[in-house]
Amino acid sequence: MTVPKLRIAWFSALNLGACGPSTSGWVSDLLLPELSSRFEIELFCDSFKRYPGFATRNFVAACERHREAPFDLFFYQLEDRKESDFVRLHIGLMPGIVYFHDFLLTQDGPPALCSSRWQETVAAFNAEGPRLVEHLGVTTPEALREGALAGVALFSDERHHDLFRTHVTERIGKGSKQELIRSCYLPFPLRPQSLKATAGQEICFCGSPRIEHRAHKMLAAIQAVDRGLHLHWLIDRSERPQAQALIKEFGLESVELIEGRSPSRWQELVRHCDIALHPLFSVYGQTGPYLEISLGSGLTVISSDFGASDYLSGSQVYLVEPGLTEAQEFEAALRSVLTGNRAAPETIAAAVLEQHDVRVVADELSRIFIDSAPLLAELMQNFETQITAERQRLLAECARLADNPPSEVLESAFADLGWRG
Amino acid sequence: MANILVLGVKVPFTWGGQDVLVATLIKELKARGHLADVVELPFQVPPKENLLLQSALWRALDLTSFGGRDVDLVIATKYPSFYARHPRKSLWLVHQHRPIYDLLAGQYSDFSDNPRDEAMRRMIFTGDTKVIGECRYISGISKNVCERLKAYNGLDAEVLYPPLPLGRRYRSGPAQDYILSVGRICGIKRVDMLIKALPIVHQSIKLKIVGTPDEPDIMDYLQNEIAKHHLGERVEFLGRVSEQELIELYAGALAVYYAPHNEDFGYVTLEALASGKAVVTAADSGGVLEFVKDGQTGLVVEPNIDAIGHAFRELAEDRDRAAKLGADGRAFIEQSGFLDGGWDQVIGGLLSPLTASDKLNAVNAR
Repeated sequence: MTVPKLRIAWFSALNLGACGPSTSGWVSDLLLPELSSRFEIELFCDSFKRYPGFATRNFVAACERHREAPFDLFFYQLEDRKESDFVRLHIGLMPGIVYFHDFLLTQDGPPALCSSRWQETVAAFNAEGPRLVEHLGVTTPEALREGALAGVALFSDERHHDLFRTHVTERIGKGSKQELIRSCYLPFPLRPQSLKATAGQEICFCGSPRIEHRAHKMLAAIQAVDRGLHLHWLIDRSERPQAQALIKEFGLESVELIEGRSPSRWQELVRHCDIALHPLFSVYGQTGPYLEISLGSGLTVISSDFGASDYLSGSQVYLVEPGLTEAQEFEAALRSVLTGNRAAPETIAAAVLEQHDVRVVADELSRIFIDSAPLLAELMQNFETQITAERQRLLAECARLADNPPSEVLESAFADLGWRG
Repeated sequence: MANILVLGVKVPFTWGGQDVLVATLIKELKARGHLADVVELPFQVPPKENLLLQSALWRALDLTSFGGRDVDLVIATKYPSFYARHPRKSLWLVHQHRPIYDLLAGQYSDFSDNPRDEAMRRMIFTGDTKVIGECRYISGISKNVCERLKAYNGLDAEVLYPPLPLGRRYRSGPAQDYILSVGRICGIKRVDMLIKALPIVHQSIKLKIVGTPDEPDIMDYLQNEIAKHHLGERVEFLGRVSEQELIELYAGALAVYYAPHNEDFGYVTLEALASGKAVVTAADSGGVLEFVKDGQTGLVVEPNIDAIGHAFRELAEDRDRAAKLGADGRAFIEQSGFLDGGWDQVIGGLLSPLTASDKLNAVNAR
């Protein structure tokens, strides 16, 4: 007897046609082929386009599709991009597993969402609604709302997982049926790459020219090393004038600006490079997936010792202290690397792939899907009960609003439209 | 000849594309000898709960006969007119209630994720699918509208573009120093972006805005922006203008601004092109992009103030280019047949539920 496969509604920004800058799209590209034989997956996105090889629908039609052919669980990927707004909304519409690629959000999101009475939804999870609202009354960049609504929360960044544990589960978990929202770290998937035989001197960087990405420190270091180094700099199209101005300021001649920052473009670029620079100095800053891609391709990485870098092992990367001496520290690290003080590409790649190999991540996610299905079924059922109750309330109010025609006329219309059942 | 009711939805005290569409459709039906009239109910939100009531009210109407005359066909247009019940119902869809569809999860939707909103959204969604699905003929006013219906409700529809109301009366004239904006004044039409972009354009260029506000406080907001950017001398609100005045305004414009968020169709686009004027629009302007091609009949830019400002600055500094884009737009409109009616095709589609035998029966019965 064959066991029916779990049906999964996969919500994510997707690479439809061209490869976009979204992390969710990149992760979907890697994970979907690995999971497609184990589960019955249908994709939902904020577009009318189709993702090759999978049934793809616009998210607006998801609940209708769920009614026609019920899903066992909803899986969401959330990141700090406008393309993720539909995911932020749907997390509240149908409880599921949320894979956070960001937990600090730079934008509030759609106004209707910000003002929604979503505490009612949270209350349906048997959490302490009023207490939660009291805490969340304060403006905060953390995705507390999305965190609180997640049936199971996964994080591709360990630092964000820590933030979640201290800021969300501690606040709403106590007294709830779930006790604590299940959560764990699920690393970015990486596909093993063919590595360069010997390490050379090609340098690459994918940060913006804005101050938080420390390009000025990095360029100062390259200028100081002055060994005819060649830098490949992956930027967004809109950043070109600012990047060019910086290059001119530091008098560097051998810099190639490549437009179209995206994880897949970076993966392509690092194949031809040897050293990746990942400086960062921002409260929102995180390393992934670019830094992981660099390591997975066997590059020597120099990174700021800040924020998410806390979770990197010093044996994997060169960590540089941000601040006044940052440029000098970069310079010293670069000189050290260029004189051969670095691990072999296969050693670097093997260390990171132990956790990040797409097959390992897919296995882990499959286990999470199977283990979480019963809990999510219960949460979805609670939510549906609440929707049904709301529908009956709405119809009663609607009938009261109409003095003329008499309510039996409306009743007949309600029944005809299928709103009663 | 048949007895036909066109079902319209009226927002009292406003006038927009939907009103033009209903009025011209009735005129064209009458011109073909049909007995045609309009049935309109006022549309009012908020509160959102009104949506259910208004849908149910349309559903409760008996439209089968009036004064001893059987109604042979009803033609529904905009939400919630298609909730009306009739054995022969055609649909020329202007749009559904967009805040639960393409606008959901964005800044122009008032539907959130709370269970009450979600219950309402699901009711309208299933209601729409049912009542549109029962139409004997389904069409939409643009490719954009038809694609939405297919993607959201799984229903196929034929594209029937509304012909230009003033046909060959549009004309091109020498470009004067003003940008023209035409349309209802509300958030989603994004007139505010152009006002904020105006300081980027040379100060000899003025802005003329045709249309009436249909959102509370929107004029206060725009006037505040005008004052803040010291644009009092450069921006002129003309309100609703006559047909002839509109023709003249188009004819004299340097270029036309029309960059709403995901527009259904947009008469303004075709009117501007018919007047030989370049259209500046945005990459997310929906139906407008079915006609405006970047660098061919206008400029398609990112929906932000800088991009819009620089686009108009470019046209103001290179008048030859503006004229060339406009001339190519006019040529496109000439070739596509928009100036010569197109009503036969529209009415042929909408009346298709009246088969030959139906028509004969209707005549015999009378």
